Amino acid sequence: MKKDNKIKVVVIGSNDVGKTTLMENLIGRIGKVEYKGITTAIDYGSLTINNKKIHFFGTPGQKRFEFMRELTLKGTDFALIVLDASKGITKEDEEIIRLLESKKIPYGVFINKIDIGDIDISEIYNFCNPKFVVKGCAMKKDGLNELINEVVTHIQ
Amino acid sequence: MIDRVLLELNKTEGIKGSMVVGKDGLVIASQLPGNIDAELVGAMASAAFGAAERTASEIGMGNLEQTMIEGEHGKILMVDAGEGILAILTESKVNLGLIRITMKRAVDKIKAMLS
Repeated sequence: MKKDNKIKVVVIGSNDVGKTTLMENLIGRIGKVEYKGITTAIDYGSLTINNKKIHFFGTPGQKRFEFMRELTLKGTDFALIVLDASKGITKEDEEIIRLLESKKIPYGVFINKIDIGDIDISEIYNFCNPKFVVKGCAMKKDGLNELINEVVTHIQ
Repeated sequence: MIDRVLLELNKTEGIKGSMVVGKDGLVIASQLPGNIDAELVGAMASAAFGAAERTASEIGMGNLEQTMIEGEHGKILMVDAGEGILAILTESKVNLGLIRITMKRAVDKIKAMLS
């Protein structure tokens, strides 16, 4: 199916890494399906940059909503994996990366919460092949300009 | 053109608006009342439909025929349309039988247009 100028980016990651916060700070007004701060279905928002409309779909991170990841990944052009610098790279993160690679979905990494932790970028490149790695803090809007520039550069 | 099918659908008594959204959550065609954010509704409707489909399959209900969301002031009915999902908004008091027949006719046309 032709998508003419519609680009779908899925924001994915394990629970509490800050996916919803990232979308809110990146986009502004987003639609959320949530309960007490936990995303239970999806988040949705869009940005128009250089005449291209980018549709962002956020996924739940809690393990019990794993099926929503697969559902939401349908027709995705690019994935943005969010990692929590204070937790490091977890087994769940590795599973998510393997899922994306098995579906041949190109992805970039945003290391969130660098105000309270850190992940060495080389550690990420050691075991996977992201198009980019950006560090920042979604809540403080730190690194978001760099992130959006990288996303725009890498989406086709 | 799918929009024409939707406009025709919207003439049915009780139907307030309709849209076709892809199973990827992106809107294919939309004829909804102006105050509604079609893209947001489309994303959520596809998530709701997908989750319903998954639930039905987990319970062993067979193929998902239709989902219906009933609100105080109206209903949303969603039907599988092949590559997409047909969603219609209705008044709260509607002749469901008539709506279902009308939707079935529209879905057949839409499925053909999408394949």
